[in-house]
Amino acid sequence: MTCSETRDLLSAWLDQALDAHEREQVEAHLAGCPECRRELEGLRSTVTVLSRVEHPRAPVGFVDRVMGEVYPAPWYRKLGRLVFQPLSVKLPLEAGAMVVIAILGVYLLQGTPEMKDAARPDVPAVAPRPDSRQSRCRHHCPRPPPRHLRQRAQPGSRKERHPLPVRNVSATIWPGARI
Amino acid sequence: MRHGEEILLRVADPHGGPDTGAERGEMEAALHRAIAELDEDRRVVVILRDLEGLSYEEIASALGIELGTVRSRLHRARMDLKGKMERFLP
Repeated sequence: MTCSETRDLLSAWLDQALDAHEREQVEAHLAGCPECRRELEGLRSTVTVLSRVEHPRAPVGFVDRVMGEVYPAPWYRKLGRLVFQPLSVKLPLEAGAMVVIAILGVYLLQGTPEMKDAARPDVPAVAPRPDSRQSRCRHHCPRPPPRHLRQRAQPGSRKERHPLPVRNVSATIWPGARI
Repeated sequence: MRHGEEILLRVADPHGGPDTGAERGEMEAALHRAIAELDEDRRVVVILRDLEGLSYEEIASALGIELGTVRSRLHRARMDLKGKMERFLP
């Protein structure tokens, strides 16, 4: 195998893309040809540099923007994207909204007297009987004395024996007048 | 070893300093330029093989060419790149 034929196969030899017969021929030539070995080392370095090249990457969102220009999205799809944003955006928004609603609720409950009354525990729904103790007014009327301290109005008692004297109203208005 | 030297060693970039990064960036820029300057037939083959990692058979099938043509085009493309990247090679 000549040097030219060998060098044409060096890339494939590096990539292990030769069959067994070609590989043996190349290796036999390389063993006796320092020029081709030097050529091989230079080629190996080039392939190593090529393997370290990072693929150029498009900026984030570039493909979406291009496809958006090529195929414009209808308005309802844009609206859907706006409402159903990615969870990384939507979840913090929802959490913030819940906190704001909770703060507003507490503020309303503590701020207005109507809401204070509404927040009190309910009175019993069953209306008490008129003759029961609970029917008495708790706020304005004095409590009645205990049973053993109550004084019954007996017939012939002081109130009965000495009723209040009836005043002569006409004499009060016109002294000396008789009705 | 003093305390400051320990900190400097700890925070140092294990892959090299700014000059190494700049040199690597310069080499990659030169390589991209060299690939762009190749003939189209050779450029396509070298990109499919060395950047995309396709096998010789896949390249032949994708381009509709013989396996021997893939070999020769790839070899010529690499030799062209070797000549253009001479100053960056060891």
